[in-house]
Amino acid sequence: MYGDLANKLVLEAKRTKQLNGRNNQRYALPMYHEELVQGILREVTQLKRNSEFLKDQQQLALVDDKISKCQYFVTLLCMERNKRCLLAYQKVRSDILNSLAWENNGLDIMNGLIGAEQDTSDLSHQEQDYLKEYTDLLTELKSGDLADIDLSGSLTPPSDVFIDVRVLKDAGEIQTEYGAFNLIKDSQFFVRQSDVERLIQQGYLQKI
Amino acid sequence: MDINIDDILADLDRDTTAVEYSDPSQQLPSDGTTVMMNSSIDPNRYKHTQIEISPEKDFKQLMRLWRNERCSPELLPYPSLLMSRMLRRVQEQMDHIENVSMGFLEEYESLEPAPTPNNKLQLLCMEAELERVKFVIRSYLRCRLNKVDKYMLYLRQLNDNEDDPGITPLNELLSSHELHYHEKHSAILLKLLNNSIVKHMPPELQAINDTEGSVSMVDEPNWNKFVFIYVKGIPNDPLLEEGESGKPCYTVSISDLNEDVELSIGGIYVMPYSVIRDLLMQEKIELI
Repeated sequence: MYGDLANKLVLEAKRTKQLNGRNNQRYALPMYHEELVQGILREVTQLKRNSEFLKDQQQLALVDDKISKCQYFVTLLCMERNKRCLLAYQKVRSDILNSLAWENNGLDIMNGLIGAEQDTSDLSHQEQDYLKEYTDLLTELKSGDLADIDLSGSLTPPSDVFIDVRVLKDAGEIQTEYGAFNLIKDSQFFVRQSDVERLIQQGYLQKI
Repeated sequence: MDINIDDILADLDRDTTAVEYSDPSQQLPSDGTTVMMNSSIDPNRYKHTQIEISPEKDFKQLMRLWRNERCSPELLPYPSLLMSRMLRRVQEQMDHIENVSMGFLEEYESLEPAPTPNNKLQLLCMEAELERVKFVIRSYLRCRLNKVDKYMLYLRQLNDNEDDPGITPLNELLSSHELHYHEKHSAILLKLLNNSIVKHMPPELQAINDTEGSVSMVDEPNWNKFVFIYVKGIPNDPLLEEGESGKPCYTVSISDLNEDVELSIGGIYVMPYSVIRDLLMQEKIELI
């Protein structure tokens, strides 16, 4: 049946969305369904040929043939639907890529992804390019007049200037205004929030 | 000893106020010129900001805009003057805090340079305040960027039919960095869609801003979204009428229901956004 493949893809997109909706702490993308996408694109080409054939027939027959008209119309609708499903799938994925880029601010995301929860091979080539360009755009945006504001900083209102943090992963030594801290796993520090914001986002520290 | 600490505090107070008071005078000339261009769209706001520009008022205004932005379905015009003032103050305050914490200011007084507990506390308050202001600005800008992404195609269309007088042109709606972001992001997103899908389609199906077909492909703000509003009103407004209860009020009409509603000053209402949009733009009401 025409449209079945596209339906699968939409279900996949929905699953992706739910996956990210539930644990909105970390964004992750499942594998890019290259085959499915290619299959749908092939289907569209086929439908296109069908529609041309039907059109030609109509012109030859010259009679007001309701059946072939309907057939032609349904073919066009199928093509339209397939296209919209493909675009929706890609849009869901690109939205998640955007969130990923915001979250991993400033890091080289391609390197960051290796070994992290997001596997680069789950992205298509075009998506990899997109992610890279988007990260560049964000870096550019953040370094302008708005550098003081730190756009990618925490979006929960700050409560205290100083907070207690626990070190989850060894992160080496950091320098702050109040001296140097040696971040060894399982130790605790009382530090200025704005100094360690980055490290909390990257998962080295936990706020307690 | 006590007197010394008081002196330090007094000195700090004087210093901060000095910074703040110098603002309006610096800002006014440039306001005058920029306002000339803006005045055609929004004369009311111009009057409002021109009366007095104090940091406190600016902050209140920012909070108001932040709330409005977060509640409204559409992207509201960018307050470029206010934002440039706020950003400058953040910068100044950061420098100021740095100076105080390094003890530069105390040297003038030739007092004991040791940071006293009082001094520390004051510093802490200043830093907390600064972090909060920064948070509000950050949240505000992120909210706007989110909307820029969401209505990417819609905003692009706005740019195309500039002749329509009812529509604010894109370069007044967005700040320069938002414009840049919008342009760049739509370019790379379109490239992604084009490379992975659209270019493999037959030519007649390659449009991505098709509004003719089954469902429009362009996401528009939901103009009929219900929003909570607080009617603030501006003094001596000719639009104000005497309501049934004798209080001054604005009258708006809901076209769907064919009904007129009185919004009396100080009241809180729930309304479809499209109905109260004009009042919001004139700053007569606030979204809450």
